[in-house]
Amino acid sequence: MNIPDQKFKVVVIGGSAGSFSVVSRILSQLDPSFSVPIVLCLHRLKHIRSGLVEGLNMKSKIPVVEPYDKDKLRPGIAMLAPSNYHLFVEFDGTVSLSTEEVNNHSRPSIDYAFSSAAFAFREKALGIILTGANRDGAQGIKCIHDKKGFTIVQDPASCEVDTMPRAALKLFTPNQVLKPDEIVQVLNQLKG
Amino acid sequence: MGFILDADYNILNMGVSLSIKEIKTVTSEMSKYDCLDYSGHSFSFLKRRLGHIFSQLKIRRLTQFCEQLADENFRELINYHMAVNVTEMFRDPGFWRVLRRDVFSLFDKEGWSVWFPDTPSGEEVYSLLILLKEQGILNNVKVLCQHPSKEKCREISEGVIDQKKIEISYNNYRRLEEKDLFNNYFIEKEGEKYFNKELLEFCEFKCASVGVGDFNEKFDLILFRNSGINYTVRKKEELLARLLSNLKTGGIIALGVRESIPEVFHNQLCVLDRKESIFKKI
Repeated sequence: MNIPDQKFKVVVIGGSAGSFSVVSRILSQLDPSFSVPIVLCLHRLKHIRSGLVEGLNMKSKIPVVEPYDKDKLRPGIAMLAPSNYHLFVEFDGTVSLSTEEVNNHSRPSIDYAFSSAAFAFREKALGIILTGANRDGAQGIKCIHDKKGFTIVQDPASCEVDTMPRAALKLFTPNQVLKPDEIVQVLNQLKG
Repeated sequence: MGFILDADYNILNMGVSLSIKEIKTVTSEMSKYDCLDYSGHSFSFLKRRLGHIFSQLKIRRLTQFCEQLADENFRELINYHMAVNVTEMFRDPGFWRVLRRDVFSLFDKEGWSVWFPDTPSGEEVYSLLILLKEQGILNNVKVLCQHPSKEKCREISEGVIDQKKIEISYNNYRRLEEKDLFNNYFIEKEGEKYFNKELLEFCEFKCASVGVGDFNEKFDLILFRNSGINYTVRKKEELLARLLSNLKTGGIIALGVRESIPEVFHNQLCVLDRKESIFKKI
């Protein structure tokens, strides 16, 4: 397994159908001293504002919060994109929210979260794309790849729905194609 | 400034991707004109919206863009396309429920006033008017809608609504546990639905920059939901200071549900409902 040796300013994880259980599994196995800020961009029902963050917090080893606009990324805190808002990572290490048009039928759009992190932090961004039923996220994680960031695609064989990771694999060759437990191993060895 | 854009057509449906230098050039040229000062908007917002405009208006050269700024119609087009439309009617049904249950009753039954300092599309205004109508107080409330684009103001005053949003708006309305009267508020013209203009009788429209105006009038309620997120922290503070100066003591201001009140205003406002971001001026 290839463990990246650069320091990262953010880890962005995107997923859609079936991703709740995978994200929950990843967060439940993280080292409690994990020190890189995490952004979670998961497709979710736009009219249900509560429940997801509470569900993730039940098992997570690090706090999961839904940010307010312009909140700062913080080491060892996972920020979950709120329902019906796009989330963008900014140069100054804050996140901004937006109610702009849906992208790939999605708000939050995973493409937007990935591409903003690539633009803001270039090679210091790490992107992980998980199971999902549409193509949102594939172009965005390619942006991280293009800016020399580190990219991980969930092994399609381990996905509940493999459309999203396969869409990414059609566009570029990521640094790693891993199963959820292997993704945790990489994350727990990252330098913040 | 005669150079061709260093921009690519973006793969993410965000229009043209402008460089930092290009964005600075464009916003600096724009800010020379009244009603076109976007220098207080956050960088990522400008990157996305200017990219959108360059793509929509098929602009390939910065010089082309800057020369056209002298044309009033072009400036109007920019204001029109910079706007981020409200996503749907009754967005965050919980907010509208609190407004109906806890806020309307705070104001003078004889008459009160509402200000929308940034009204990019009709959904938010129409939602309020429906609630007022159903509470039987529509005729007692004066509503002022403001936007820098004349065309946006015209569209709202004509009851224009994005047809694609009607179903989701209806579903939100139903979540308010209201009577099923939604369709009564629309008329149909040539196969398209329009908001019934009769409900707009007590609405005024003002074409002016967001939050800017020579208002001696103070309002009972200011709805500024999800507009502040487009600005830098500093500009948002400036705007909120202006808005609060136009809010009566005891009046209410509502922001988007994922917006917080900057610390500098904590001594001027108390929380009426934190989950729905509704605050009362002390």
